[in-house]
Amino acid sequence: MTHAAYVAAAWAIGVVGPAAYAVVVLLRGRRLSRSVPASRRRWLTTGDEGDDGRAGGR
Amino acid sequence: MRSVLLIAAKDLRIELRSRVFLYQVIPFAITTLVLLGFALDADRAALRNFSSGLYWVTVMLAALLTAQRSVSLERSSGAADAIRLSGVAAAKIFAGKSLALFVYLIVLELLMVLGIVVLYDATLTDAGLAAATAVVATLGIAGAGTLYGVLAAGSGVGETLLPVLLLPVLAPVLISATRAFGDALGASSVNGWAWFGLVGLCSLLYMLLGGLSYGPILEADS
Amino acid sequence: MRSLLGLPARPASKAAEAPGHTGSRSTKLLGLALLAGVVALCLFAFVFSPPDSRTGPEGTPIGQFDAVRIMYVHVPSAVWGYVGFGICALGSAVYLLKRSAWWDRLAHAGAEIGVVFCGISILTGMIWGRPVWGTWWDWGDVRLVTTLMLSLVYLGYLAVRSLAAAPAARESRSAVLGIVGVVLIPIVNRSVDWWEDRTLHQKSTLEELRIEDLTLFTLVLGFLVGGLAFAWLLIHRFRVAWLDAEAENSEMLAAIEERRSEASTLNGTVAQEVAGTATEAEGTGTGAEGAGTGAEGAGTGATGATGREGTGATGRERQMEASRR
Repeated sequence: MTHAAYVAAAWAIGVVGPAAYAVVVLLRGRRLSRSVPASRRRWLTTGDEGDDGRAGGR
Repeated sequence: MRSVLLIAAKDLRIELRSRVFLYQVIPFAITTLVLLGFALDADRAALRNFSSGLYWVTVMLAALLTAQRSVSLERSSGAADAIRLSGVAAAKIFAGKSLALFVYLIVLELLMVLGIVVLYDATLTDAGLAAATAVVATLGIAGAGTLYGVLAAGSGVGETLLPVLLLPVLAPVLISATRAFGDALGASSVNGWAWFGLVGLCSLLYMLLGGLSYGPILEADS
Repeated sequence: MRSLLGLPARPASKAAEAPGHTGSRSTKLLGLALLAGVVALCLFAFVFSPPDSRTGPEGTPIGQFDAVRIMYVHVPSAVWGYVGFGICALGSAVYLLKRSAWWDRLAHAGAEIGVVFCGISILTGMIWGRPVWGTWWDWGDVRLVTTLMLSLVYLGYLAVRSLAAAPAARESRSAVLGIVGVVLIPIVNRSVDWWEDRTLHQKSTLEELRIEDLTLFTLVLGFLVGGLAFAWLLIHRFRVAWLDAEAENSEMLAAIEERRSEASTLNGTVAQEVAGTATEAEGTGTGAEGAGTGAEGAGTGATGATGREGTGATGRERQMEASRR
């Protein structure tokens, strides 16, 4: 394969980058989930403040 | 229109009293011009070639300081709240503050033209184009500076935040004003008036966006 | 989209089982599809699709050879990055019209993912440019320069989002930034395009490629897989932004609760009265954000947190007043 190093580097960035970002996002979600009551994690539960997703709004 | 002028006059009057512009911003601009001369190894041909770009980079940096100043002097004295409570429309407040910023920057630019003529050996071959470009580009810089100044203010980190926000947004103005000036200084053979058109488009856009969004920002701040 | 991101997936009776993460059945399915897509894309990109081995009129090779395989990552990430910025601008615009938290969180998620994707696109573009153009950075490539400028604008957006300001002020300010960024796209693009015109003119990469069937298919597959990754990330990032605001909210409620208990220990005999004022304190609590913004606007340099603190104290004072009564 020609340019093997370049291709490998580009694909490493293209795959590892989003994967690392995804891990960061997931971990952050787990950490934050602990400080939010289950009733407020609305994608899993029926919201008690309307159904337009504005429950946390002001 | 009267309220726009009043707000602009207020800003200018405060500035005249505090003399920050005279003793800090103008010396900063001159220092930057000198430092850029050092950086380019005082190469006469290079300096003359790049004088338009160096000029506008310096203007942007000085505009950062001035925009910062225009917001902070209001915040510290509570004048921002007073203006907001006076019932003047947000778009007019925006226009007034932009006008004041425009006046400082135009004064600074006039001095800096002398600076590049003296220091960089630039020659003004088309003064009309240079003047038109300077006026229109400065309108855009003043508009964007006023808008982003208030966006970055009140965060406690405004001094570092403003450059990050403002400089990328001003990049099109830098590019096009530099080209137009390059033509006006006879340093590059491009169609300066076409670039002037692009400068005008940018400035119009910044003023429009600023006028439209100043209201929601002030509203959320109060 | 709305139901995918924010609406209930399970009946309320199962609320207690809500897991402590941002996943749901739909995101799990999406994730599985994404993994399968990545595997398929790798197969097509490295095994099935041919290298770019075009030859010029005299038989001299002019293709990119295997460097073309970088395109399968580079092009989709650029496009999805721009989609992210577009979502940010859309969310920001709707936020300014409706003041809806939902759209604000969506804008935040879009901007962050846009920056990640555009960053990947810029890096892979540079890596591609080195062997093909012989330079890491070609100022003549309008898209590369535009994408960089735009990424910088949205980095500024993320900087504003990360500030400790009162939520309403932070949301409005970032909404303005989110809109300005997208409005700038054509003007940045135009100015860079004209500007590079006087230097060497490099034709854009895709126009140059004579696209073979399999190359085209792989590129389309790249777009699909990139879209799956984008959607998965967007949903999770949106939920994190949502949780973030909720956590901020519940922190505030907890602080008020604390003040309330402090007040009730001051005088146990009027406990009932305090309980009566508790609802009043709650009312002050919801107003706390507004007060925080006020402090900010007054230029005291107070962050949202201090604003909140202040209102907490007001709640306490009220309760003490109630105790005295």
